Amino acid sequence: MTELLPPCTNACPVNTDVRGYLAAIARRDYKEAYRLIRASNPFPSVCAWVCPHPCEDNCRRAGVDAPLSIRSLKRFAVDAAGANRQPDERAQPTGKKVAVVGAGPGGLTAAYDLARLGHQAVVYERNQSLGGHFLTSLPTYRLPREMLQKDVEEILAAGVQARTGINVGRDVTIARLKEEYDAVIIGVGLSESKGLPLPGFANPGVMKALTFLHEANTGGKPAIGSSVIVIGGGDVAMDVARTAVRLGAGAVTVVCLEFRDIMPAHSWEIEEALAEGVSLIPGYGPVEVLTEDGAITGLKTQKVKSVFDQEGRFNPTYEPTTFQTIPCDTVILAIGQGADNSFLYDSGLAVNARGSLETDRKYLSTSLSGVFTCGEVVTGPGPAIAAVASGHRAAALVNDYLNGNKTAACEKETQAIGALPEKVAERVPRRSRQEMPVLPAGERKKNFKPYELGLDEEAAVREAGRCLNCGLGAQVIPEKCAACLTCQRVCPYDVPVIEGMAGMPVEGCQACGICAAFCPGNAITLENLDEKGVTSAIASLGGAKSLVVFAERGTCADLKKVSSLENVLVVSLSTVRALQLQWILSAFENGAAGVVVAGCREGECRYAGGDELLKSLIGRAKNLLESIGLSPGRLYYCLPEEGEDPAGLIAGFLKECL
Amino acid sequence: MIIAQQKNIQDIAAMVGDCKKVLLAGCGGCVTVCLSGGEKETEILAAALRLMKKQAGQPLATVTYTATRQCEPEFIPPMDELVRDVDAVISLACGVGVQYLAERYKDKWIVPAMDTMFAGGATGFGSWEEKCGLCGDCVLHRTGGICPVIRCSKSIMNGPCGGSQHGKCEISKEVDCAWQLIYDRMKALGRLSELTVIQPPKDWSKARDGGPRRILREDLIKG
Ligand SMILES: Cc1cc2nc3c(=O)[nH]c(=O)nc-3n(C[C@H](O)[C@H](O)[C@H](O)COP(=O)(O)OP(=O)(O)OC[C@H]3O[C@@H](n4cnc5c(N)ncnc54)[C@H](O)[C@@H]3O)c2cc1C
Ligand code: SF4
Ligand code: SF4
Ligand code: SF4
Repeated sequence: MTELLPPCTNACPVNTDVRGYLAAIARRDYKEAYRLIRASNPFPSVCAWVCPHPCEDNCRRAGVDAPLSIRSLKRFAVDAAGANRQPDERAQPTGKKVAVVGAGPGGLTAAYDLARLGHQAVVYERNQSLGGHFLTSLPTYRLPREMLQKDVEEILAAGVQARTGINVGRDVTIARLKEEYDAVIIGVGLSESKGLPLPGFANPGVMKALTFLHEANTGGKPAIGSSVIVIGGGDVAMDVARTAVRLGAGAVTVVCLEFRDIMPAHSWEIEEALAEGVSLIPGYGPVEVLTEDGAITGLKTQKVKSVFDQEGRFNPTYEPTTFQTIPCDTVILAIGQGADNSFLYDSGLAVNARGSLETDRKYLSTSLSGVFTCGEVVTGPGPAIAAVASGHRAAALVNDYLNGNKTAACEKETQAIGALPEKVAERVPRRSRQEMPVLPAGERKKNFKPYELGLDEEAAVREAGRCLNCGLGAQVIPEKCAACLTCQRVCPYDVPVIEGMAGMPVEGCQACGICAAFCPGNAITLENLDEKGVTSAIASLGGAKSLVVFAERGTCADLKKVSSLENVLVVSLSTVRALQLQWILSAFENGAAGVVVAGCREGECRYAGGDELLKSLIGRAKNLLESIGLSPGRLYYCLPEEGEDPAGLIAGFLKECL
Repeated sequence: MIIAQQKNIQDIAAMVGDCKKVLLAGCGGCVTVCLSGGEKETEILAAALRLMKKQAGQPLATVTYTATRQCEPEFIPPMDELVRDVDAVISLACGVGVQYLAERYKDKWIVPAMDTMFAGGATGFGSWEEKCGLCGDCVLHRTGGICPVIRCSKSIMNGPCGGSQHGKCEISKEVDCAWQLIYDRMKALGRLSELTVIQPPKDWSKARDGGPRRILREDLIKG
């Protein structure tokens, strides 16, 4: 069956529970947020800095105002969770051994999963440290290496063993590893920058992106001049250009075949590069590196007519007579990466016509039974999180193989929840997106220091509260629905459809829970409301004389002070408008001295509508209390005015009650 | 459908004043739809009664059960177990349900939580109106789809009476004169002339006046 997922989760290669961790941030439970992030991704800290966030591009909140700042929130969560995290659980040792070649995100993820499954996972890495491109290629101003260190330490703590400085193919062959281990996974990535067989490109002044970045990242000073041309239109080209700027190159120009609007680099990478003074010449292809006495003097380029052919294949054509020569003293090639196939030496593995490893992209297998692959070497270039996903998959397949399971880890079908209907989007209160604060371009381009400063706590909590909780909305229990129309009549977004019985289309439901508060058959449940959690919280009073405060979950920053007061139990709801009369009675029954309904200030509630209904519900509750001999004054609807501090008002009421 | 509303909680409590444990029986039919006696209201009433009795120092235990409908004998037996060890049953069904319970549980004290009001329907969220007099001899085809039996305060068959003022009934400014509504509707339908036909006195024996009513469908009754 196809699983319906929020589009953020569906777009994420590892299906991160975005909604879940955003909700945890909103209720200030940062450790839980971190746990949820890490549950599907052993590189939470790295990804918090560098993930190109396909989740964000798919966020349904875009239909209201702007998508959630998801990566900024992930960054906040990993920072806020701090140290002292939960150690990973590990299965009993199985006695099986797996060698993983390459300690990039793909290989390390596979090793980490296998270790937790109880297998002995040993990673062979030719570098002295672990991390693959995270270690060698990503500019340090975008990825401080402490982040990598943090993630790697946790991976090793789960039992992964690492043998560094071992070049597989040279120091040990895959054939040998296959003898020694029960299975082998090849995750060698794409570690070679591609060259160009054009005149002048053999000049030693022509550098390759990965060599250049590696040197710069390890504190070296690559030999660049004052006028640098970077060839390539992708993210790597942007990293190279911005690194060159930071190394002090006077002029840095990016030249690429693609026109500006179809450049493969992410838009923000291009914009940040431009802001740092990088120039762009899109739509031109390299023809020749011009030299004088062995020194580079310029790059001859030709105007591009089209990049793709009619079938959409990369097949550039040029304007026959339009050339442009750009003066420069350094050329850096960032036109893509390929595999370094030296690991194949004497391996017995089949290769294709181009000399690359023959693989099955679905089952990640090779020509040798027991030898698997993962990461970019099989998937091709992509975001790191795709390599992580492939690492998970490889581990699952290897685990099946080791356990003799014929049925390989099956692919689960997923589908994203559809777009927000316009009539609903119109009614959702607007909330501005909290952007990642960054250092100004003029300042950050001077050095390699990280320039993304991170959201502060209040901004993060506010931003997390913008999540629409897609898919956590109202569910109808068919046998309880009386088709009474109440839900349709009370829903502020006009979502429920009654045809025989009520149905709440998942695309529209905002998961506020107002309908559930009024459904006479108790036929509506919402994950977002967590009725069971509410009733058990109230029951936890156990007769203790205290104050019960019903409040909107998390977003009500002011209530932080209240929950820390003694004798106060804050029960959080999706919105106070979802408050149910039974809960008020139940609070009193469990000994509450008073009950507070913490309303939102005008315009602060994240949901539209429902105010009048809540007022009537409180009115009814007060009348009922009076007729059963309880003072209605023990129920307080706290609606702070502009400038009033709800915590103060509640504390005052607490004093009156106790 | 049948529209009912809950009695005052003090009156309900008084009916079970000497009980230690009661069953509150909700109904999933009309009273769920008219928001007065479904599962939610049943639980609210149970909690309120417990609180009230606790306040008064006479704790009351409650159990709750919501039947699919209390007006069908087959839906009652699932309550048997629960009924066994309670001192009384408070039914949140209409009067029909209360009687079905009383019939099945002969030795139990069965009391109504509701005042059963009328046959009618909702006019919006939280408002209901009486629409049908249950007279057993429908005349709506002669009165433009508006029931004179129940919506005319005097149940006049050849209205309006002299108490019709500016479209309202003389009993209250809040009450529309049914015969004004009938007149307007028939006029709009171009059937005003039909109102000139004098209606003969209504055969009230088909209504309540003939004593308790019963329908026996020979075609459906087995054997
Ligand atoms: C400049 C640059 C910037 C990037 N920026 C981002 C970004 O911002 N966000 C993002 O999500 N992704 C980014 N990526 C992509 C991301 O880094 C890759 O998707 C990811 O690293 C691929 O993981 P992998 O495990 O497949 O391979 P790799 O990370 O390449 O790891 C392979 C490992 O295998 C080792 N190895 C290779 N051959 C042998 C051998 N014979 N013996 C032993 N070890 C061997 C290598 O040394 C390396 O450590 C970037 C990539 C580059 C190049
Ligand atoms: S609103 Fe929240 S759950 Fe919905 S797509 Fe955006 S981040 Fe995901
Ligand atoms: S309010 Fe409840 S019982 Fe009424 S139609 Fe909606 S889901 Fe069904
Ligand atoms: S009231 Fe709220 S929870 Fe219920 S259907 Fe409408 S949006 Fe969804």
